[in-house]
Amino acid sequence: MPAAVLRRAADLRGGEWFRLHPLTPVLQGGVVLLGLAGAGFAALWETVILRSILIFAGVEEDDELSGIALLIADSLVVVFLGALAVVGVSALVFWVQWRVHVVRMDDDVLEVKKGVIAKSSRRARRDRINTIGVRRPLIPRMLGLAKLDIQAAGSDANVVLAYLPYSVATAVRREILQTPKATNDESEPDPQVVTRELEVSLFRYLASLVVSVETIFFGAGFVGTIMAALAAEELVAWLGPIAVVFGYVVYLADRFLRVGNFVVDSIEGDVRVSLGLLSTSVETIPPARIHALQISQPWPWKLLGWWRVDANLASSPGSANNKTPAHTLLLPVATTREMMRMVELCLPGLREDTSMAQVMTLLHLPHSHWVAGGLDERSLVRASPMARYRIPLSAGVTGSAVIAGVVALRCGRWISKLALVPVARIQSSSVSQGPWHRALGLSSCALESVEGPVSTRVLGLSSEDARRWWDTVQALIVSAVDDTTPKRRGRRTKA
Amino acid sequence: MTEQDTAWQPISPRYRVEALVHTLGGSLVPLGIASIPLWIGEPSFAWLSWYALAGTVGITALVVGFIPRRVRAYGYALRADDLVFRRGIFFQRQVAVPYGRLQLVDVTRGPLSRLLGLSELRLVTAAAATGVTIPGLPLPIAEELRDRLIAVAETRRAGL
Repeated sequence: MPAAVLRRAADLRGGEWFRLHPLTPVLQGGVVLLGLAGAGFAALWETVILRSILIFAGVEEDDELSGIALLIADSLVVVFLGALAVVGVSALVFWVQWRVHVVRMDDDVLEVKKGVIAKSSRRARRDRINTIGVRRPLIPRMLGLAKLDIQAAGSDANVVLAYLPYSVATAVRREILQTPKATNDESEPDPQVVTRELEVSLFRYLASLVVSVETIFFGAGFVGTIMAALAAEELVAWLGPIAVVFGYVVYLADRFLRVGNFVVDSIEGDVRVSLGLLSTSVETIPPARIHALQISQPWPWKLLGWWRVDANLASSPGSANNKTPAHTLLLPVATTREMMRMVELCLPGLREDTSMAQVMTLLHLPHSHWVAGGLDERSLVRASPMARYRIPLSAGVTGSAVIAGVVALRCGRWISKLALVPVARIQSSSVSQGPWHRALGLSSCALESVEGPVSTRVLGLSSEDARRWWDTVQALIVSAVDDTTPKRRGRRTKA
Repeated sequence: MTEQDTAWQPISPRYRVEALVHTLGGSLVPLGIASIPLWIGEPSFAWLSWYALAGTVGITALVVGFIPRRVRAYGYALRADDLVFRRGIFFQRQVAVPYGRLQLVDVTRGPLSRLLGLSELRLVTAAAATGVTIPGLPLPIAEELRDRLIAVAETRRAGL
């Protein structure tokens, strides 16, 4: 089919097929080929190339110089021809792949077709698209390219549009998200209002990585291996501590490069998260996609007043590539003020000052002080005194409360955690009791949320309290009228 | 309290047969592993095998002994706004699924359950953790329940 290369986002409005950037197949499949070439080169290096260089340079004397040289000369030709054939065939394969990899968009669907032997055709209904992430892995980024990760409702319903020049990609992203009403309108869309909300400074992020529970683990490993090395009195044993230090540095560098340069913007009520130093990734998260939010603080951060924010999101990104960040991390490290701002952005229901004060009360005070901290006795539940035999450290802080249509679940003393779950997003609720809980007359209560890093469970409630809390929350869930339904983009007005 | 005013529906007692077959079938692998030392033919290791076999048989017998109580522990109830499901003796769990959060209701039947005239009703919400699967329902009841749940879910869709 005659298809042009997609150069202008507005071209998509015509509903015709377009090709992606010509380097796409190289970037998507070429890495494997490069790896093969590298392996082949490494294998040849020793046997042929290095030796021939040495022999021609006269460094390595050889009795049968002429015979070997002839052999090398022969094999060099073979190698050269083979390499030429590989390059030629792969160029042909890449070209064909590029020819058949096309994209089309009309009022209802976005469709991507690719593949010669294993054909694939993916369609995303535009009114079911939740969000579109912009990903820029290192090599495509150096070439000025980007890919779009189009996330639709439903599992494995994602469509990946790779690769496009970065400016085209961002324009295409907006084009897809626009309502088809504007299709006839040739003018450029109105610029969106983008407000820079938070920036995590590189220094603070690095400091937060160093001041962490992981550092303590690595430190313990370091001390342990050093003691083992001293005991062993063998030089080889010192490889242990060196390996630990090496592992720690690699860990720091990996986290730093992947999550560094963290920026949060707000765009028309949505939260936009950008991260990455070398490979970058941008994700726009409408608050309606946030099913649960978690504020956490490992104890080394307590003195510094730092917080981390994670979320459980509806429809997680990146089915095509495991290396794309899950974007469930909303803030790697933040001051109290920044953390509060993020909570307000993600859960607009908590914007009231009194609600935020209640959240802070839950985070800072043991549950005996919750009522004094402004919480309503009737809308909270605390861990039973017996819970100290089940959760000895955190029995004094564990509990749950309802704040302005959000259920808050507090747990953990070493790593303080507060989960915030909007009632309208809770899928189901449960009480459960294992043998240990039973022996102490306790039960746990859980609110089931979509998959993600946030745990939405409270342990150690007295069985009576757990049942009362279950009934309370369940009554809230069924009566929750969903006033923040996700924005349905591109829906046609039906007659 | 919920416990009193909930009219729990039991599952079919015929599910005991299915549970028994599942338990015995599930014990085959541990039995096989336990008997490996016997197969090796090294007499000095045989005692290990006998202990392991005895242990496996003992645990299986215990699980089988609890099957009737386990089957009785299953229950579900349709309340005004949600379906409640309970299960378990040692690890008890009660889940309430609001009708509006149901995305899918599945009736599945394996060969064994078909023989017994039973089927399994699976409720799917956006959260995998909801995990409500009601086993041992006679097929007509399961199908009626499914149709009813889907009808109610249609009218109260929310929270997706």
